[in-house]
Amino acid sequence: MLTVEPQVIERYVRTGKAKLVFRDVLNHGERSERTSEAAASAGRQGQFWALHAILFAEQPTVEQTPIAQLVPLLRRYAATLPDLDQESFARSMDERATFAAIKAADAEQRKRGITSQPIFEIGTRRLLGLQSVEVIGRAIDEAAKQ
Amino acid sequence: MPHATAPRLTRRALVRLGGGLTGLAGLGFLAACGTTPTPQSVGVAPAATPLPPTATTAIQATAPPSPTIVMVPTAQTASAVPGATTMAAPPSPTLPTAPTIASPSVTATMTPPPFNGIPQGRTADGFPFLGNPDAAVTLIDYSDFL
Repeated sequence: MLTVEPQVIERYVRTGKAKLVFRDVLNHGERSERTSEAAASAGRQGQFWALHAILFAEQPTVEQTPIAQLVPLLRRYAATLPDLDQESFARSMDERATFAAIKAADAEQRKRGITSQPIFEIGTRRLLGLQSVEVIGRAIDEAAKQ
Repeated sequence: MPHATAPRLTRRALVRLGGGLTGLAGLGFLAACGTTPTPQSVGVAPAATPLPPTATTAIQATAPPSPTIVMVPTAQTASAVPGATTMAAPPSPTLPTAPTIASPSVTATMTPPPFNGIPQGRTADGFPFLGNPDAAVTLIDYSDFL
């Protein structure tokens, strides 16, 4: 979704044809958990998508940073968001305020077979793995006709 | 009553006495200088047995000649310092290259993609969405940031 998402957003979300919902899949242990918590913590202040975009753009760094340095890195990313209350964000991360909900959602999804990523659900269709913009577009168009 | 007569000093005795006094004076001078006098320089004490020539030879043989070691700049040749032994500067040790860890530096002006103008919010069950909340199609992206 790293390269496809921006195109999908421009073609189908910005135009009002589709609504994009993001749900975390925790397949990389603590690294998945902490990055998801960071996005959710920003989301508590209405900044989920802003940090979401940064995390995707900085994916290689997020993947390679030692786990002990991950939260400080996430805080530095959050610090680039001018409208984010940094103190509240840090407190949310320290207290792991969003962790329980993220874990519960992941557990519920796994019962429905969401055990890998990415997976797209468009209407009644489920697409497994990376997809092209065209495939996602066709699925959106088909769902719109239903 | 016969006069007591002073004992007559023979010439040899005077010479010996003079030598002894000279030796004592020498001892005092040397002690003041902090130098251990050699018995031979005093002349009073019995002459010390001089080191046999073989002993001197042995010491000289075991003490290697200490070469003059001059560190010269690389541009200066050894011939510029007569009698100098050139000690070449050891090559800089090559340390193993440390594994490169992705720099956790964060660009201060990180700009998220232009989501401006696109509605953002949370679904009824608390997941972040982007786009028209009343869009005909919902695209759910199950993913993570890794």
